[in-house]
Amino acid sequence: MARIRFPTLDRRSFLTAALTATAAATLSGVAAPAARAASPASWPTQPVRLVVPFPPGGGTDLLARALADRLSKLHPQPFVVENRPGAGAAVGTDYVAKSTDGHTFLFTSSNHVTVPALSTAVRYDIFKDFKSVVLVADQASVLAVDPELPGKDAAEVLAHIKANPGKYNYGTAGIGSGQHLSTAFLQQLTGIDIVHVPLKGQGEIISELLGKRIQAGFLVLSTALPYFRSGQIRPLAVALPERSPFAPEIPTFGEAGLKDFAARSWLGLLAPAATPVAVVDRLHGDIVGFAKDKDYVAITEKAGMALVNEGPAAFDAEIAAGYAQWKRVIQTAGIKPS
Amino acid sequence: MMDSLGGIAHGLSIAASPANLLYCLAGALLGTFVGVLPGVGPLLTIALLLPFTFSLEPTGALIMLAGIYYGAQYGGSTTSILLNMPGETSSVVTCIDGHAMARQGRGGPALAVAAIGSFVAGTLSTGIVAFFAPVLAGVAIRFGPADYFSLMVLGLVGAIVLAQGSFVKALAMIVLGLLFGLVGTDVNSGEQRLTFGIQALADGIGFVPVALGVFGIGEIIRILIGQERDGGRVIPHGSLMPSRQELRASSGAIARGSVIGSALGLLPGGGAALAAFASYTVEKKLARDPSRFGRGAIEGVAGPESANNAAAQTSFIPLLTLGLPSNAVMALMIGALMLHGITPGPRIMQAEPDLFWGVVASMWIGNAMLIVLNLPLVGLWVRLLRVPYRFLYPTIVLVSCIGVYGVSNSAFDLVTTAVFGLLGWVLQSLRFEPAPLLLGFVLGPMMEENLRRAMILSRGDPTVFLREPISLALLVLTGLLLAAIILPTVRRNRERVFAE
Repeated sequence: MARIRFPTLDRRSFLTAALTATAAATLSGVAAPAARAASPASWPTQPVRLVVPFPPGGGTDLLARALADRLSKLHPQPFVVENRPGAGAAVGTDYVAKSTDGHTFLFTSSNHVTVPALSTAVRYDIFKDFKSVVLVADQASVLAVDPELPGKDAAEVLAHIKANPGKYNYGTAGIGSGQHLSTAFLQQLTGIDIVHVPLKGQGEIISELLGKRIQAGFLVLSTALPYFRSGQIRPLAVALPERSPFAPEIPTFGEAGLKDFAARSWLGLLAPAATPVAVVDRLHGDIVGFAKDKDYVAITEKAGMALVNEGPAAFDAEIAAGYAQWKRVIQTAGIKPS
Repeated sequence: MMDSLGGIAHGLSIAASPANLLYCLAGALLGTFVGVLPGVGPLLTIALLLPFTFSLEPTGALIMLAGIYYGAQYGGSTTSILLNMPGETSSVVTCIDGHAMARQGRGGPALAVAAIGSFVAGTLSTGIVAFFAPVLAGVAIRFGPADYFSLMVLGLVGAIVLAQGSFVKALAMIVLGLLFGLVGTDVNSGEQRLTFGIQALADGIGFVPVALGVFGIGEIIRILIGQERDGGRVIPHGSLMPSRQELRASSGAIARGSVIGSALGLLPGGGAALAAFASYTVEKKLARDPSRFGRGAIEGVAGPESANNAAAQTSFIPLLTLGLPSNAVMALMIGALMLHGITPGPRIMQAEPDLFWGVVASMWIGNAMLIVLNLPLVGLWVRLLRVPYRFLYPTIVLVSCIGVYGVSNSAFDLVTTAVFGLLGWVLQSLRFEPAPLLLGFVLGPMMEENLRRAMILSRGDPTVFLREPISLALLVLTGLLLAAIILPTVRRNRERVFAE
């Protein structure tokens, strides 16, 4: 129907389709700005972009690519991963919030809630600009320490750190990173005084722990596991509701006596707010269906992710709860918004 | 020792399987190709290829990705030499003398020596990886922030030697580079510095836009305006291969570059970036006639090219044994390994001997393939420059734009490239050299990070730089280098005073 009423738009979209067939990733700017949020029956009418607000290679990117491969097979149009890194995740997220072509989605991590909780400068509203599609997977985050710290369990080690205020260091992937906020929360719950050393990424946290220059840090379970098994780094507690099947020997924070501690690290798909509910439902259904795909499940397991596939309502609740929790932690800790 | 020999034999049997040879060749070829395209680097290529490696078995996948990485090192030197376009930190120095040689019609020998140097360095450093990987992994851990800081100070002082002209101008360029390096988010407070409220600057200015801008685009502007005689055309004449005399002059540089590169490549916190610069500094200081440097000294190509290839190989040691990436490409490789359920770490040699030794052996095979591939290509690349510049330069600029945009899908990066192109033109017209600027830009942020990290760890005590033995040794070396730079100037001035 739209074809008859908007001939110019149609020509433009024809052009776009022809061009995108050869250069899907690069020609985004050419797309007609008017929302072609087509009726769900015919959706998608052009290549679909999953914007990852991080550089290629990380866990989020990896899962997005695994999803894009499989979604491409279910739809007449290809699904393409597009990395738009910068400012924690704010650059790519802002890009999706402002997109109106009906074919651009955001595949992001729990940075989605921590970045706006930290910064007053973000130009989008995570509650008003997005519709939750599906919270795909959880990554386990582990509090790990130098094995030379005395104490037979998490409570004793934390007590030792508390008895030596300002003596020990902890490493993070930088100011406002998930590890920084998690440790700030831990400090608020336990009253430990430990010095923050901002580093660059998990690799450096591991090497500084091995070099005995820092004594504690939060690590992603899957990448740190070899060091736990070799005894070079000691895991104290994992931030999950239940023990991880990948490392059942590590107790949860709840078991370690810190029932209030939560630091959920999720990966999920969001759509711009104007996306029709039918499109959201279709994508949600497709992605939940992949849980039967053995290769897909194998990829997530190898990357140490737990598939949870929580739908829009549960995802919305997680975003609201996560945002409120980190906002409170940030204000209490006095971490300055930039 | 026997373990290593057995390991290498085992590795060769894996790497020489028909499928793995094919992956190795495919990676090396693809790497050469993307290395030659300005702006399109191994990072973009590996990111795009990552999904395809899902279906390969892990050894084959890593062999191919590694091939792309060191293949791009070869290819990158081609654009640096012929077009003055460095795609990576490591090829910035190659531009200085390599491009000067190309302008004199000696592009062929420069490319050939770069390939030969890379091969020799690759062979030596592969041996180092095979025999010493477990021991050397410990060195990387012991290197702390204070040590890195002092290493960066040494690197910056060495940057002065890069310049052939005025000492003051070189210093000014380093400081300007440091200033550009300050742009972005302050690591310890999260505050924005010099970003003027532009969100795209929050993570700092990218290396590729700056490098392409101040070198290649700046020069293209100069040529188009007509400031450059002969339109910057490089007419190949004489032999494509280096003369015996040139080879003899290169051999020492290749040996020293290999050693320097192998050592610095071990340091994941920026060592590999320094390798080529360090080698150039050493060659210029050792040369009987340092004034040849910057005007087409073949040692200035042979040394740095060997060093960066050696560093590229040994940087696999911290990657495979510690899971520590020394740059973004290496971080991607960790992602690729994780996809296959292999986490790089302390036990990888025991847990995945096929992967470890297979990849080590494939590095050597890949280097051999690259030299067989690249030496005959030298003639082709040099002939490429006969393409009239009204076709050649628009193509280069277009490809550069695609490369720059492709890295983070950011139109802002294109604007940045254009701005730095203008800056490059202004600087080159005023006879300021871009190499020290780039070194300041690369080293500055790393130096600051390590300085502040060291100060946090020492609770604000600056004597930590003198108490750490490695750091102290590096600072003493810096002092000696500084003296070696300043004393001849002082003596010359005094002689002039006495003569009057």
